[in-house]
Amino acid sequence: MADIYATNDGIVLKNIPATSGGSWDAARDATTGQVFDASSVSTTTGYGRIRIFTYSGVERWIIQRVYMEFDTSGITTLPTDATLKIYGTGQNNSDLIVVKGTQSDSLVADDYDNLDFGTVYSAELATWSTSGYNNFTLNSTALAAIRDNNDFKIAIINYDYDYLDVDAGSNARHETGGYFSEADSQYRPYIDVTEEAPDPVAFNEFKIKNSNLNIKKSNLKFNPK
Amino acid sequence: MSQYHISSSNLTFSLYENKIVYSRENDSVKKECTEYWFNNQNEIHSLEEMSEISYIVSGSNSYIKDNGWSNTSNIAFTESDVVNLYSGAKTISDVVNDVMSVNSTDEEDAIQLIKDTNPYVKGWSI
Repeated sequence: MADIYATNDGIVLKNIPATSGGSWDAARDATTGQVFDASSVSTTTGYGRIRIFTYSGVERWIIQRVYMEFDTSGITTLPTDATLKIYGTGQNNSDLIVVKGTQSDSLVADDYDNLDFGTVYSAELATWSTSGYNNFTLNSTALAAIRDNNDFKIAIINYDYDYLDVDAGSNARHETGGYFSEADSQYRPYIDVTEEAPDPVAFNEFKIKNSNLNIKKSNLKFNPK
Repeated sequence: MSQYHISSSNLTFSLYENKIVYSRENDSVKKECTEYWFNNQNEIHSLEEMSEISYIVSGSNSYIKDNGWSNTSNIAFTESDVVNLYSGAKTISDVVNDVMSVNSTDEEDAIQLIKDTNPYVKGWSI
């Protein structure tokens, strides 16, 4: 079992008014947004935020996506299990899903659309605790990505509207809160990876040179780490 | 005031005679960051990024507007700009109250929406 904590986490947010061509499609299909690093994101609403609202008489659309990555360079065999754990707080009315992230090594505005909707790493998480860790069970595609990449990059997005590309309608508010890597250690996002232990090495005879120790016909086994 | 360095392009921004200037590594020549320069380079990707640089280098995030760059009249760089650009508002409280009212939402959400909509502004009182 290995706990690997998130790095380079933060959000990229698109906020576009109707007067600048704003619409659901314009917001979802945008290629650039505004970056907020882990220290400046609202933890109460930071995850999978969809907000459609009126400002100074003009309708606006906000879609907010979370990006983070994990150093998986030490994992070279296919894990048997892996769970993404996010400590919840604040709001809990945006169902979330994890997909492949293709963001930069340092998050930038152009990373807004650097995610792969077609490469899903988890099922939809429809329930959210605001006072404990929430667990995304990572699927076989994610497990292979953990094995094959030194940096396992993900995007966490709203499921019902952003992932499915369904217009959330007017005056919509779907937000879920959770902590980022700037939080105290007991709240930080991490992945819990389980690797299968290698087969033990069995010996028919075990001798230590220049000693009298000689074990034969026993069930002596060593379990490599 | 501070300098601002972009390592990927070896660009360093600083303040010289109240103007933001840039220089490249191994080049002592400092050139002014004009609107023409901004529109013809590809290292600073947005006005927001340029505003952030001007805030770090000069202490003012309204440098762009103050120096007459075009197409900035509808961008809020200060909280006063937010009020002036918001239809019918005279104070920042008017803005908060109207956002709360028209969206049937609470004050915390309204303030978040105002800040999200005006990302250049520093030093909020709300």
